Amino acid sequence: MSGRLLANLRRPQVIGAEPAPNPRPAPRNQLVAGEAAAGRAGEIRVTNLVKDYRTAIGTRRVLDGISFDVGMGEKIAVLGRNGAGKSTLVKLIGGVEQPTAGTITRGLAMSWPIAFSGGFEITMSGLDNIRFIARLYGVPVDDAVASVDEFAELGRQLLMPVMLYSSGMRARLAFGLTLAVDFDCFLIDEVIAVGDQRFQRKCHDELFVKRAHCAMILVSHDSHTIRTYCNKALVLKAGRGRVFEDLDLALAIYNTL
Amino acid sequence: MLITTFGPPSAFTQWSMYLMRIMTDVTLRDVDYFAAPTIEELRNAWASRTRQHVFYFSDCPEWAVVDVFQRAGAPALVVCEDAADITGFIVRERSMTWPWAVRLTDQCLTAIADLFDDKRTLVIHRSQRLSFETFFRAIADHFSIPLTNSDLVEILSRIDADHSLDPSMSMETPLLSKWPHARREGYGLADLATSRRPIIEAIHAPLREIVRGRTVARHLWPRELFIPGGRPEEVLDKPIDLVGPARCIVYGPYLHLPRGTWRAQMNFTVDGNVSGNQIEIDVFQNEQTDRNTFPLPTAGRFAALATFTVHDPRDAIQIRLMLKEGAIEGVLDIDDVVVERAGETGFTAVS
Repeated sequence: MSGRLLANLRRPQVIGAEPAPNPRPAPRNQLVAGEAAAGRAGEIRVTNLVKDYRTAIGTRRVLDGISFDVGMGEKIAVLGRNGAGKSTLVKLIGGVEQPTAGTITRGLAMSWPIAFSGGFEITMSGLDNIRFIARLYGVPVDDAVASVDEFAELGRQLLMPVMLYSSGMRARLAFGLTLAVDFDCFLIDEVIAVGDQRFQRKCHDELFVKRAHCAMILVSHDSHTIRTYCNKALVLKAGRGRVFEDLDLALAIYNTL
Repeated sequence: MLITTFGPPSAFTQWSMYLMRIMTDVTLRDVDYFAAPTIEELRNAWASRTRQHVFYFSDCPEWAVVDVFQRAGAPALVVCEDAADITGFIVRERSMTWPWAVRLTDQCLTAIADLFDDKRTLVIHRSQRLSFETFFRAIADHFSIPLTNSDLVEILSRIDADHSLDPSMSMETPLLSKWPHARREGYGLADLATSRRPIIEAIHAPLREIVRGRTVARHLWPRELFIPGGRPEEVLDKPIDLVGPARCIVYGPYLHLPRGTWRAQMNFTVDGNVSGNQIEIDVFQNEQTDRNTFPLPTAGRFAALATFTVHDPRDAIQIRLMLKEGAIEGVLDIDDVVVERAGETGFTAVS
């Protein structure tokens, strides 16, 4: 796993930057006012988040004053057209990138994106990767190995280097590893299940039934999934964002963005 | 003989038509009465006539009907009263809300706009406060109806069996006693909240000019005559929150204009539209007549223009403002719509 992706702690942790040079006001009536960076334990708080990228034709603001919070057990959908800033937001929340301005307060143990397999050390076996992550997160190694082994159904292939895994095997290993750590909040970027139909049901049960008490930040285009599991939605448009508790309204807006 | 009459739905019109029916019954006797607001209904009524004389009335004729009578060179009568009294009467008699009563007043007066400056039209206005005799004599002269003194006595006795009416008596007094929804002239809107009167006045002012036979080149349509999208029972009296899916955010005013080409300028203010959007404005009058799409600015005061041609004044004009994308922020406030004449219509008459 990349060092940044694993940078999650149980105590409130503030990652951020100075206020943007020209932050624009957040949309009115937003559920979370963009004020102090100090968040409380037991929630993820994103405040006035700004992300600029330098391009050949100048600075491009991808996120502009995004604010929202997610408490324990809450599930927020992130909606937006391609290019609206969803993946950038996931990267910022996951700690992969730093914001240009604004703060992210992590008062919950936050996962890396579900099924994210880019952080494996591919020369190591699947088993060694599990052991490494378990030690890094303070999870009893035997418990982690047993958990991933049972979930991923990779059997003796866990002894093989990850570089020899198919993409499906890597996804199952990554999914299993995410579930092996006792996260409070899961970061889900589109992928909520991997494998065949039977394995997808297993993923679904593990994530949404057994971990129904956990918070989730769910980037998805699937209105059924959002209506079923989320209790609010952040709609992104042209880098701007607004949180809606009315999911029907949020989806209606999203469908005509 | 063809007796052609028009008048908006008002107490004075109903009273006048009641009096004229009795007059034609007494003087012409063999009369077919019909009301036909469309050319199709007029054809059918004409084809089924069985009597020597025809008494025609419409309170809101389509343009083709007006055109037929004007081209025939037939004398016509228009009875009328002040637009405010018409609107007030419609509110009371039809239990209509004031915006729709204003629209109906506008429709009926605009539909007969061409007749007010036609030399062959006799316009009798309530404000003239005619006596019965003057009223009947003026109409008889206009249509060449023989009217004797004994006819006049007979007409008045049929109006009131108690013989309490005198030919020199003003038509006004019996009107108020016989029409429960009628009010004294100038008091038609006395029951309405004073805050609404300037809005109604903006619509009525050009109608008064039309009734005087003048051409009106500029109309101001207040925002309160527009309807917020999805809330048809409301008037637009506050800024529109853009947050929501792509949709029609405002439409209306369902007002009317004389024939010709017009240019509408919708003035509006935008604020907080940081994430951007597209706005489409179109004009709909039985069919879409103009459409423009433009990016909605972040903030400021702007105007959207549309040009359209009115073929039939009876058809309501609908200007629609549509948000082309879902919005997560921003407000839009319609200030007003200024409509100015851009040219005459080139359309030929229906024959």
